[in-house]
Amino acid sequence: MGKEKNGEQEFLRDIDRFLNGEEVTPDEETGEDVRSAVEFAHKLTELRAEPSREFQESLKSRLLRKLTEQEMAARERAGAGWFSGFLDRVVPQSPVWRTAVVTVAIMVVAAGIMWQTGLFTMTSAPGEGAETAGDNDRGLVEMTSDDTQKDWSQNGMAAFGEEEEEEEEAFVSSPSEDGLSTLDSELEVLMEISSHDEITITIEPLTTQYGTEVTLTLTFRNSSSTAVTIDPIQPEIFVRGLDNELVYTLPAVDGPEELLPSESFQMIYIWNQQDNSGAQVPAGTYRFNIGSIIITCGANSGVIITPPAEVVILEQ
Amino acid sequence: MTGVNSSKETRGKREIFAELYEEFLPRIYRYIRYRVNSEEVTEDLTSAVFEKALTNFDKYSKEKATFSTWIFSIARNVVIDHYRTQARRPTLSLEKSEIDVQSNEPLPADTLEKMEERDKLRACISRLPAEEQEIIALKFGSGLNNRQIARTMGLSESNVGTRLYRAVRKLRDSFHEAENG
Repeated sequence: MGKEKNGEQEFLRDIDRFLNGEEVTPDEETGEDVRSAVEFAHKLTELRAEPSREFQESLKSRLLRKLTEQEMAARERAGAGWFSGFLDRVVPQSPVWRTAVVTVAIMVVAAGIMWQTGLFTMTSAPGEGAETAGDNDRGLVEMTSDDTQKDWSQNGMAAFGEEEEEEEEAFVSSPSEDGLSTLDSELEVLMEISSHDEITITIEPLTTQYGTEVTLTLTFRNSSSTAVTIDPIQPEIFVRGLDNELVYTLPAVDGPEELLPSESFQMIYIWNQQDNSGAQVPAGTYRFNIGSIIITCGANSGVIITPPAEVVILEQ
Repeated sequence: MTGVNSSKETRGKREIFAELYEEFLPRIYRYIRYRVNSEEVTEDLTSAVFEKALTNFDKYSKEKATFSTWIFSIARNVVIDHYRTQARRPTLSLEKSEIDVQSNEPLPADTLEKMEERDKLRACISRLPAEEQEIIALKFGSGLNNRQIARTMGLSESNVGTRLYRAVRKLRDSFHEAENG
């Protein structure tokens, strides 16, 4: 029994050492049973598998979206709590009074809707109001009408492709009746950043020779009047073929954590036309994208998805 | 952890969760990969673990348990639930999945040999009692020390050591049997 216990201690000590990266050479006195168990334990570590970069990125994006949804739900709950508290304070507790107040409120809202839709005046164009609200409903991701972004949305990159609709819904702001008046200034800043493509990837030149380096410039620009924070501050750029297959991941470069009003920041990435195994990629078109960037402005935050940039590598 | 109401708290939660994600994703993934025979299922279950962790993140209290103990407990439960569901509906064995996935491509002999060996090893692990499988996965997959394993599984540290030693020897013997048989 004592011998068995000693063997166990020896085994545990040795495997802890090799799991910590230390070299393990068994003592001469080590019994065959323990020695072969330690050797076999080495074999067990060979089963270790690492998650693919693609899986890591897509799961991270999903979790960030979920987190944003949670935050928005928390904000809505906080808003609802404030409203019911306000109602309790302002409206007398009597059921008769409450009924009267609610009836008047409904009538005012109905009148407002009728006026807005032109039923009173018959002169204002019903489409106008609806269009504005519709545009707002699209939220941060699709605020821009830029053709490039639409193109990209249709193609869909692997990390976001199928879940794009879900993502759009996650960032729908509370639409007001006129579509604009209830947006607070922070949310406007986020929309402004999104709608003006303030995070861009540019490539120079757009067509390049086989085997030469491709220079990418990632630009963050805050043209709003409010400071914004950016996450991640070390974004990686993913290189994909036209079939959406991940070819290479450009290592992260240090970026800014916060951008003050009117401030901009550029990060330079170099791609030597190699794939993840270090081999030269074939000639063709390659896309670059940075996945999702979270911009936070005060209490609001949103995911900004940047349209990818493309480069064409010419035949050798 | 408190609710997510102010921007500071929100940012704090994002940062903390992002850091924990980077640290624990590979360890959780490896733990699950030791417990199931398919890469696809491993990805699904790993996603489920982190989604649950995010949903319940506000309820996590570091006074009650370390984050490692907490998230590995979630992972264990996710794997247990997976096997319960599997038991209710018959499925094809995925034990040879590693080879099957790439069977259309010619592979070098030594690569094929390694893959076969890993398949055999996974098959041997899957025949161990669930508790021993967990100890093996937590130790060799996630790299937890015996104290962390003990906390996660609700065992004493010395008990973990004894079971680990026994499980490895049992695996070694069954693996050699499979090799020779």
